[in-house]
Amino acid sequence: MRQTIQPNDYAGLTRPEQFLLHDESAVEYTARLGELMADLGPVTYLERRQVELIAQADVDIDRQRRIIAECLHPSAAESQAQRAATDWGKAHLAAHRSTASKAEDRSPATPQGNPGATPAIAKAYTRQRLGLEVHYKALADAEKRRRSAIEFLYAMQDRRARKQVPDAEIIE
Amino acid sequence: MSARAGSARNAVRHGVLSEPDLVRVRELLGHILGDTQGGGALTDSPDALTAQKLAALALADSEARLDAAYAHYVACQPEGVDPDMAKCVNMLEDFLHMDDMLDEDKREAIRRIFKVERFDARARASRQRLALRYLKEARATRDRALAAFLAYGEKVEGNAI
Repeated sequence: MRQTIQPNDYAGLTRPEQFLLHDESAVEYTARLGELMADLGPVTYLERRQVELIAQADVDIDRQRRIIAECLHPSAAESQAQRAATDWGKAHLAAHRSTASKAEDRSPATPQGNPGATPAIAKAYTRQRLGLEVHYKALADAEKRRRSAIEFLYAMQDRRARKQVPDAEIIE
Repeated sequence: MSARAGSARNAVRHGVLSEPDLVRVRELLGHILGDTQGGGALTDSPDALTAQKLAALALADSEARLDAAYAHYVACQPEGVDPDMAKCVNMLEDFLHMDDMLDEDKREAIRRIFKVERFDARARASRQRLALRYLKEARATRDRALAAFLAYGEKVEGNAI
């Protein structure tokens, strides 16, 4: 297995800025692609492109999981409309006392396993069911793309390896 | 005009189904054929192209389309509310804090905020679903083109190393 990355490994591949979002790092993507290149050992351009598709699918899987987690953050249980309606209702009942509506800050901290957050998460899920369905579908699709890209790469490498085996000669 | 034809025209306008960039196709063709100068095959007349070169050309074309479909799919991912919709919701929300508005008007503003949010969520989901479909189609076309090229690829693969 090849352990070093050659400079021409990235020639002809897609520039990361064409498909990364602003919360994704081109440096991390390149490092991940480099690890895959080292592990899978592509030799031809088409094999390298196949490894690139695997890396893109990896990024997409992470992205969909991140978006789903963000959608299901307890602070997403209420939409802006619900907050506005609730605030207005409270202010109206308290003789037009004004309370500014503010969304709860979303902390990027690691989840602490708070069981008390479950109702808010369930509410967030119900509220964003339509959008979440699309993201779950996109996640399943990215996983499928990744599997099929790996299978295709192995088939190509297998084909290349078979070509290097000389034909048997029949000796009378 | 049917809705299907209309959305297809939208996709052409936004670049997903438009013709791919010829320079990029030439570059990809060069890499596929192991000719780093790029696209030597395109200088031949179409009649003179071998089946292998035609397969490589189809593959380069489908690769460029796949890149465009993937870029469009990624661009549809962000979950943020459409800026115009957000502005509309904020304007409606401002009504709630005005003292000289009737309560009935404020209730109507709340109803409309909910409507705008629902409309925006549906529009976003629809865009994302469509982008995913375009990506799947582009991927399937590219995989078919790759399989067809590999069928001719015995000699070319050796040169491309």
